[in-house]
Amino acid sequence: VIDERAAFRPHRSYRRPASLARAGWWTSLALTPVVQAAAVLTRGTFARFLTRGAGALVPGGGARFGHDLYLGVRLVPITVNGPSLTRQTLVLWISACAGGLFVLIRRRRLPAPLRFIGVANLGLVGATACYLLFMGRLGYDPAAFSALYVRTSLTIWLIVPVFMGMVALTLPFTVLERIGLVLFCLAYEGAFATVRYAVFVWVLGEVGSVVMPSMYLFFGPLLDFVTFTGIYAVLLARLARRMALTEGAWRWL
Amino acid sequence: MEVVVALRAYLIVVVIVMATYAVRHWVFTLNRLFVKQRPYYQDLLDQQPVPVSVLMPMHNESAVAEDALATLLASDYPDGFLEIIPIDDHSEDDTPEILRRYAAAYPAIRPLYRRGRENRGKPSALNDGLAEIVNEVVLVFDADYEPPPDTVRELAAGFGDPEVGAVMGRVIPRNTEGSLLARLLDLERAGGYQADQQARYSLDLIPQYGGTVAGFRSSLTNSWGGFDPRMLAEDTDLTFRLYTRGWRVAYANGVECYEEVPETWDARFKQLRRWARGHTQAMFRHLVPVIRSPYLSIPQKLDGLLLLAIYMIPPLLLTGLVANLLLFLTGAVPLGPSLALSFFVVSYNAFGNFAPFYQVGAAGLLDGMGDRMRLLPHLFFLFLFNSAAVSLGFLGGMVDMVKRRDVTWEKTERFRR
Repeated sequence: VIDERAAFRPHRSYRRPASLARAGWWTSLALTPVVQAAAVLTRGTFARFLTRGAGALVPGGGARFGHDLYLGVRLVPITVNGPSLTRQTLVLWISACAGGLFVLIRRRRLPAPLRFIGVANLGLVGATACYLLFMGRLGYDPAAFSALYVRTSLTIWLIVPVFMGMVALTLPFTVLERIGLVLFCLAYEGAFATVRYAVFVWVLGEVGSVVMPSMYLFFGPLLDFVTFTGIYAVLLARLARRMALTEGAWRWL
Repeated sequence: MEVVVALRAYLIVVVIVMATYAVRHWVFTLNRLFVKQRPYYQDLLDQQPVPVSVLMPMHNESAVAEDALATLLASDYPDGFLEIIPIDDHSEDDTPEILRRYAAAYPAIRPLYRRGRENRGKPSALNDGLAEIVNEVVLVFDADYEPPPDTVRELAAGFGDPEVGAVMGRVIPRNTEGSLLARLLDLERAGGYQADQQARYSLDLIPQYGGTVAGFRSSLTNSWGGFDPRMLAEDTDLTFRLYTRGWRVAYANGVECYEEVPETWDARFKQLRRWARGHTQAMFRHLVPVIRSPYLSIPQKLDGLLLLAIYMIPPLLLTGLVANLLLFLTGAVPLGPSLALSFFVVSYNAFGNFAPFYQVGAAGLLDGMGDRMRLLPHLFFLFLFNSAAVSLGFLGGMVDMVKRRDVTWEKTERFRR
């Protein structure tokens, strides 16, 4: 009976991966601190790439750089000077956000998740404008925000190996694939964070600090982790295809 | 200054709670993929059949009633051992006519018609059904379910184990071509059943009785007076009543039954809000009994508490984000907790069954979903939507508890074409 059962592909409810070599899992686990150490060692290079790269990408060029010290790295965040926001400008922002919110809530043509995202961001911008109107200033000015962004990106760079390393351990990848996933996420983070930094600097220079909370809380670290999920999903789909075509990829419970 | 300290402390508490859930699901995922799994009761399938009553509550189900009854009638369970009791709960469409027609043609079908009573909704409909039956084994299916022929036989087999108080099968969406939402819910269900429920069953924790594709012993529910009509989550209530009294729930991952998931955002919003509200009621009712129960092991108590509190995740994440915003406005963002919060927001995107993306991914791999898994990052777009629905339901559950008010059952819209 057992031999006959082995001839069938295990039903999805009663199967688990057969190809996983325990040594591969433990090797991957042991290599995670090594990759982590590499990320720590290259943190200065990453920070320089981020700031200098973004500086070169900012439209108009001529970016000026400040100084900051974080986690033992001398950072050079781009100095940003946004336009000053008068009371009239802030009232205009509040009115525009209220109008946008009204339209999004009343007109339900957009799919609900997109409406919720729109409402959240308009709410963030509107709340920030109100805060500026009544309190006079935010906790971060554009220059401090620029430094915060670089610090945030550097921190993400340092935690990617642990987070994605642990995530990669949940799948029957090979050791190389697991390390590849982490390294690809790191490389992507380098490029993505740099381009986004340039965009943020440009937007801040054009519209001022009223959009900073939306940038940071919605288009900041959240988006980094979404892209990591995307990279994970692409590799997962590839793994699924490979396992579907591989004889003996599965074992019974 | 004290406010900033308090906000930072709150953010850190949120991160610790979320990290606990993340580790829990990481362990579940590893267990499901790499550790020998506990099977259901396949070795009892050939036992002498026991008489089974199937209860199927229905309210305005004319779009799906015939399919559900036809698939149940096609069951391979022996003739004379199966009675089907569709419970028409104040329907205003053609549901009663359909039931009358089927009852006239098939003696195994004995419909109940509820009219003019105050208590509407699934729990009280089930109570009326329980009053009509004498069989020990009761199975429950919602009206949009289409059980394959062997479902009744396999679910009933679990009751051969005298420690089992309830059994639960696996739910699989059938209308995944209907909309992007339905496909995302397919991913979410996979994470919830293929990985989460099966791992909890294997680890001897607390697999949940889910209220459909499920069964229980009528003697047990009768012993405590049936289901509480004020509960919107009679399934969670039953799960914890059983476990705190020394019974177990057996999970049958191979007993796959097809359901219709919401295809529109409005329907999904209402469904999530109802689940959250009912689950919150159950949380307040069972928190202390779980801690005090002499029948539960420490890991079971821990899992039970985390399971009861699971609908607190969205309100926690939302309030965590608000705390983060306030810290940003005051220039006091703590980088570590702030980034961890972002990770958890993205990670816990499949809020319906509260599986992080790596658990959904592992389940999709086992299910052979292939390229559909590329939809995983799209689950992020559900974050605010799900959080709003669950948070509203959570608040509703809190108000229910404080005001001891009666609840009204909101039926999920059907999309059968």
